[in-house]
Order: sequence, then C-alpha cells, then structure tokens
Amino acid sequence: MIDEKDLAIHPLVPESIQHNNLTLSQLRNLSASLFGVAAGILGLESYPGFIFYLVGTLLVSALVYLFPAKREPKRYFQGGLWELIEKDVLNGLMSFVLTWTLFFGLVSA
Amino acid sequence: MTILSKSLTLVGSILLFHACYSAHEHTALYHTPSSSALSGASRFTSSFRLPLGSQSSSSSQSAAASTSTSSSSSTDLPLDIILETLLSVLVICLGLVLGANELRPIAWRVWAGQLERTKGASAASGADKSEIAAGNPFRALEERVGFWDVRAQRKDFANWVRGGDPDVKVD
Repeated sequence: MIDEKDLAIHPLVPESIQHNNLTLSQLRNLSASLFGVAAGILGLESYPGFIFYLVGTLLVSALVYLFPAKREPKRYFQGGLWELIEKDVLNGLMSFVLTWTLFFGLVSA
Repeated sequence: MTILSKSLTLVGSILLFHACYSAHEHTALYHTPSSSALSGASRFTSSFRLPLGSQSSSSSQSAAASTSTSSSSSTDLPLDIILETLLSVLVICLGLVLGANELRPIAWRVWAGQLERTKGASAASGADKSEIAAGNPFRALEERVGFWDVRAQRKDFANWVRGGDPDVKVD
C-alpha cells in the first residue's frame, strides 16, 4: 500500500484537517443561505436557481483558494483543489433551497 | 483584516437589504390587484364594443395592452436591482471569506515547523491559551504519566496551598 507508506513518511495532523473542514463548511453554509436570499430576490425559478447556486459556490471556492488557502490547496486540504471545490456543496444546497423559497415568497408573492 | 471583513459584510448586508426592499416594492407596484382588475375590466368592455364612447374604449384598450405588457414583463426586475443584488452578494462573500478562521497546514512537518518558528513570538505576545495548548506537537509525549515529576508537582502544590491567593479554599 503506497498510501499507508506515504502517510507514515509524511504524517498528517488530524486536528488541522478537522479545523480546515469545519472552517470550509461554515463558509459554505453561510454563503449558501446568502445565495438563497439573492436567488429569491432575483426571482429565479427551477434550473436557473440551481445554476446560480453552483456558480456561487464556485465563486466562494475561488475566494477560498485565493485568500485563506493562499493558492496552495494541497497544503490545507488532503484532496487538494478538488476537495476545496466540491466539499460540502450538497450540505449547503438544503439551506440554499430554504432561503430561496422564503425570499421568493416574500418578494414576489 | 477582521475590521475590513466586518465592514465589507456590513456594507454588503445593507446593499442586500436595500435590494430586497426595492424588489419587493417593485413587484408590489406592478402586481397590484387593482391594475389586473382594471385590465380585465377594460378587456371586458373592449370585447363588447359599446357604441357609446368608442373613443374611450379604444383608449382603455391601449391602456389594457400597456398594463398587460407591463405585468408580463414585471417578473424581470430592473437592471439596477439585479446588479445591486449581485454586487452585495459578492461583497458579503468577500467579507465572509476574509473573516474566516485561518486554515492550518495539515502536513505534520509543515505544521510543527511553523509552530516552532512562531513559538517564542506567541508566548511573548501572550496569544490565547488554546492556540498555545494546541500548538505543542509533542504534548502527547510530554504528558505521559510515567514521565511526571511527581515531587516537583507536590512541591508546587504545597507552595500554592501555603502562599496561594486567599480566595481559593483547600479542604
């Protein structure tokens, strides 16, 4: 097993991994609610709303890549850049839909 | 950094609130039940073609056409509200990301090296204790029970009991 050997030679810090994942998921949850508010205000319906969410999460990933991760995602996330992009996207979707429907109803009904 | 992020988030929230209120007012203005009732009534009159006042019926027909076009196009907001919403989202995202906790390197050697380099600085500046406690890569080794200096600890405890602050009661 190459992976185990690799881990033995370059050990990881579980607390740091946990801390980074927590930070990322907090950002994702907050920004997902925010995108829901925006999508509700813009009055998006069906697929455009979900596309808006995906574009928004990509934007947040890009910001995380630029500022907290300082363009070195491998240093902070085990899976590198891809983990930074796809982590917790589906978790945020729930809060996105919640605030999306709420603000859609508030604004346009 | 934190002040910058907080102010960005605040400005973005105000913009978002304003955009939300504007959008609400906009839809309330163009979706009022009275206008739809008016357009329905005028359509009704125009379909009947009352002989009296054909002038007024034609004018009401044009008004109905204008209201119907406005109600069909009122689902899309004016450009400035859309731009304000998008800008506010961008600004809040920037504020959130800048205000997020700092990430820690996951590779042990990078992490420990960083800690050793910043150890003296953090101790001198009196950084918060959790950081320092979490910051010792060899804590597990140093806290092994077999390596406790029991006599030194007993001495420390005795000193603390004798000369410690009077608020603390030792039973």
